[in-house]
Amino acid sequence: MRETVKLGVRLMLFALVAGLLLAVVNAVTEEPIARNERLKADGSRIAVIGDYDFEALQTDTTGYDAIQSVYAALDDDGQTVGYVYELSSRGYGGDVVLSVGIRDGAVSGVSVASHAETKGLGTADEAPFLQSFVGLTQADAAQGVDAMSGATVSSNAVRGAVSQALAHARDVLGVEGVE
Amino acid sequence: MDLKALRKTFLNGIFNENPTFRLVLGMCPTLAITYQASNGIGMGLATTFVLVFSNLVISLLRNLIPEKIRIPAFIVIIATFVTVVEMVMHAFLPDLYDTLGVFISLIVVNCIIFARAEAFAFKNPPLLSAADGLGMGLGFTLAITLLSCIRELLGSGTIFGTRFMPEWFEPMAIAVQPAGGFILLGLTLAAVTGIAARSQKRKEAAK
Repeated sequence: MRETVKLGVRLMLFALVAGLLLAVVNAVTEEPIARNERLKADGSRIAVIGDYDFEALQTDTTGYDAIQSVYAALDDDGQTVGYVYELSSRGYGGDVVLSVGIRDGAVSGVSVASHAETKGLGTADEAPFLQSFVGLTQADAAQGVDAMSGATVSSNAVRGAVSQALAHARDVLGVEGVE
Repeated sequence: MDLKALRKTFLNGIFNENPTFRLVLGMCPTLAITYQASNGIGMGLATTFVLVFSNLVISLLRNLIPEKIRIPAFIVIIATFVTVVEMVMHAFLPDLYDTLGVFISLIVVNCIIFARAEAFAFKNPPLLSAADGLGMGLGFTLAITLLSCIRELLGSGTIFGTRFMPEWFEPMAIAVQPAGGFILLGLTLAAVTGIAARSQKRKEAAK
């Protein structure tokens, strides 16, 4: 009996030291881990509007078939600074999934998450095309952005999606400045 | 402690008693993650870290750990270092953490680590035990990196993400799947055993 207790106490001591060590390591790694997890979850949204907290919005998207979900970007005080649309639009080889950020009544960024188009869409070559949407304030203007040469259908998918995001922001969310 | 014994213990883990090719221990991570060269080296180094420190600590504490509770004590020590590796990797190497996934935590039950604690560290002085851990760990790293290079080359035509195979080469998807891993492990094991046996024979003939 006495020996059992002695062994138990010994083991408890080992566990205690181990626990202390882990607490120290945890204190050091806690913050970077939280940051990594957030980047993983919100990475595509941060890419189009900036480093904010995101909250899913319940909103009516009837008539906007491309819109999958809408997020409000909140600053540290919980004020809405803009919106992020996640859209899926029919392209040439399949659906093009993309995020569109809208801030101060204008498009703040477009990023393609996945697509089944001919190699290239969503990579370096297409950066200028996606970049040309930034600053647009009119849903109609999004349709008029120059297409990528040789990729009209893919370009249309992106144009249609951005246009729907702007139209929804104007008509349903009532974002000021969007025409 | 003389340097010769340290060197001998260290090299023992890499060649004579290579955990993967000679002792055939730790097969679970070996098969599961070696489809990509970067995984092999990441898993190998993580395991090496745990091996060196668990061996060192167990050896330092070997007079304080009662024989009867040595197994739970080993587990506490090994699990602590594995958790440290896991947290540090999650914080600073998130991509590697994502690809290795659950196999990082499973280093706890990697039989190489347990075998070295029981067979070596519990009976030997600290420095020698650390050398044993380093040798075994690097032996394991070399072995699984070699295997993962072969699998990545055949399965994706690349090594460390750089293409090595000519344009016409059609990647063999089986090589990156577990079944292909088994086959290639067997072939590599046979090749290494064959080479070792030959050099052994030559040594004897020279005598």
